[in-house]
Amino acid sequence: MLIYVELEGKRLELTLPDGAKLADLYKAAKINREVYLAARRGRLLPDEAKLADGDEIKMIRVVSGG
Amino acid sequence: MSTCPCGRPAVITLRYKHVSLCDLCFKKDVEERAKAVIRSSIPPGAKAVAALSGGKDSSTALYLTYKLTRGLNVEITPLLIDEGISQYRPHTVKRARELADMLGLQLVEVSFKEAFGFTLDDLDKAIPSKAIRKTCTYCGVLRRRLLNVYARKLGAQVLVTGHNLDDLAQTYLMNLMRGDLYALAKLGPYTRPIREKLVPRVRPLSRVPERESAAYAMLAEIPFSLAECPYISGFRPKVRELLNEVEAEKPGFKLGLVELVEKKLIPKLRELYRGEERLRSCRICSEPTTTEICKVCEMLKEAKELLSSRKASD
Repeated sequence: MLIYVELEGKRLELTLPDGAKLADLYKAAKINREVYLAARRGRLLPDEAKLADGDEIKMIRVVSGG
Repeated sequence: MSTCPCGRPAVITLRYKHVSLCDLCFKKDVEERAKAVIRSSIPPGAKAVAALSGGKDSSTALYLTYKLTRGLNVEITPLLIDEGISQYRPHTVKRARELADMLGLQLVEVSFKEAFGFTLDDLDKAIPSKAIRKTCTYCGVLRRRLLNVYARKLGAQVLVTGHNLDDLAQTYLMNLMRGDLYALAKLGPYTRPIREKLVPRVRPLSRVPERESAAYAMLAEIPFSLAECPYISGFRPKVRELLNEVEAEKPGFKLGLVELVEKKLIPKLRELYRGEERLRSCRICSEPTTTEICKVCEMLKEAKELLSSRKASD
């Protein structure tokens, strides 16, 4: 299935196996989950959230400050 | 969709706790952690100043302090330091004002320009690219001074800051890497004033990781900005990256490090340095310092020299 990921202002396309979860997306895209929160349609997602074909996942960078 | 132990849909995974929680249980969990800090360090009837930048951490810390001291007659004044960073600060100031309005609190705003006569943007332009001290270093020292001085002027018994678990893990590790055990001895929860001029800090987010601080702010619909300061530099971002890489492999590493340092190391170090009171008054400004001239006066002298040599070359 095809998942669209918004990451740091870029839109990535990721092909994941059916039944993949958010944790699989982090692994496949090499995204450090300590640095981002993931949201789908404006709602935050846990690692076990099942993804569906065509999902648009926004990665919100939460690390800031000096 | 995975579910929270309460049966509602989960919104966040706390890997170090082996649990995914719904919005309500997550907020309650964060509030319990903050409450343990707030209730043990802010007595009923106290006057608290809360450092507020408009970013996620200080906004969450202020909101939680307000929420968790309700009914305890605690007077809270949010204090904003405007360093004069045109690409960044106006966004966060806007959010800080919104939050203060939402809570019905009077925001006190102090700028570098009025306190020191220059903005951080002015100073940045004057610092040569090869200088050892970067803009970020001046900012941290000068901002901390203004927070302490104005907290004192406002009659605060405590200064609430938005330092989260990640900030503490970074600071402890940086001090260990530098071998600065004296600096480490002065840290830890609820640092009591060594001299009456230093307002003790309260860190409600000391057990809340950075991503959870942001998640809480989003779920509680607190106005905040995720804008990033353009002047971030130095050792801290590298240590942050290192810790985040380790945490991703070993969830709970940051919490373990912070608890180890606070429970085992800092008490021993405080014992070691007891009686070795190195704090005195700065010869120039009379503020507390461990050296004859404090870091702020040293940096202000440097900053003014840099600014006047830039003016001369213009």
